Amino acid sequence: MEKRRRCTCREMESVLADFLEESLTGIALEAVESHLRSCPECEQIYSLAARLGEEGKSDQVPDPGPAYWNRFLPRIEARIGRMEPARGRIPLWAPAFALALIVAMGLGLWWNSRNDGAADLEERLDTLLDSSNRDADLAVLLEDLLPGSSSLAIPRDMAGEAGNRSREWAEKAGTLLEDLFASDPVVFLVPRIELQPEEVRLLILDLRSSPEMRPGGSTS
Amino acid sequence: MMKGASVPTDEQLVEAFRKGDPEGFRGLVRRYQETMYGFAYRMTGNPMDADDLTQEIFLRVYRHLGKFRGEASFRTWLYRVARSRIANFRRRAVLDRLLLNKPEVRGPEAVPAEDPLVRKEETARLREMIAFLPDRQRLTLILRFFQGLKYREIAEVLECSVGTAKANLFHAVRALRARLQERKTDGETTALHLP
Repeated sequence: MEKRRRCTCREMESVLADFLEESLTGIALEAVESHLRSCPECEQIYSLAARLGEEGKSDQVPDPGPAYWNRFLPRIEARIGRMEPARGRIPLWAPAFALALIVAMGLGLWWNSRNDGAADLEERLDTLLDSSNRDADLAVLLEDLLPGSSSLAIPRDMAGEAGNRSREWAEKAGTLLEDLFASDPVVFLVPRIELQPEEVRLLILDLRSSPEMRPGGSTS
Repeated sequence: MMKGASVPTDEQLVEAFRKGDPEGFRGLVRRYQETMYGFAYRMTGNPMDADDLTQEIFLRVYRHLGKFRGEASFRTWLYRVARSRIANFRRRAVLDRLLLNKPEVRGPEAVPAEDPLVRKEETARLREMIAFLPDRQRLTLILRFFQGLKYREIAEVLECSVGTAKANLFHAVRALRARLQERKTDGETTALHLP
């Protein structure tokens, strides 16, 4: 029991937050205090956390001013107003225009990535996956990285033909995903899946090397 | 119009919106516009980005509020929407660098030059280093210390357990401390002192 009167550095991970909030009592409190007295590293972490708490309390975001706030809601409502008629009445030429735009964007991205060289891709992916967003939305990550796949970024209920094209592409991608990871193809359309960085890297490289997987590619 | 003299709860405003009363949405925007602007500002360090993101957040709320099922509070749901928008924004910035070979620019994100309240170099450097933390750690730190969310709420926003949210905070502070030490050992002259 005497031994438990001092917690370990590992245990500090889970109790520091409670200690900061002063919600520990009795033996748990004693164990943390005792550990902090004997562990300079944890003591420094605690002190820094306490200081951040103080910084946070006094921190103020620069106020853009009353004129900004007075205009804020009207600006949102104006954007909603523009959004809603567009939803209800899509001009006939809109799907064709959207599709043309998507293809143009895709070609641009594809050309850009070709210029960068395939060997460079692995390095770029590693940089991206190592840096951040490991828990990123897989669909967005892929749509951003794969040349021409930006069609997935368009909400399917608003994009008409382009939306159908996205679905078609996504289904193909989903099939490959299933082959690669024995996963349900639906995951490709569902944003919340989390894959390991290496899995994402492999998937992207594989998709990139399959011409028929590209929205602009052959679908036969 | 909303009935009753007392201040409506978030749930009442959501319900009003669902029934087609525009005051429901307006009430939610007025209640949370500054909080969301602050969150976006703290995550990006740039007032223009904060403005864009705050608008985007509320537009997304408008589009999806009808599907909000009330399993979490409106506040934590709103933070989830904001988190997603901000992550997307940051991802785009990363991809711009990757695909368009744009140089990495993180300075303005970390230390807003026009912030009149960034008065102490020490505080500014601390904020700068917070901007370099991994996303989940940075989010946990900002949500807890700067936005004042409870760990239960942070767990809902990050879709993890309360224990994980607490551990995230520990790891965030530890990583921050390591960065501070790195700066010290690099011999950089800085007013920042380890506690």
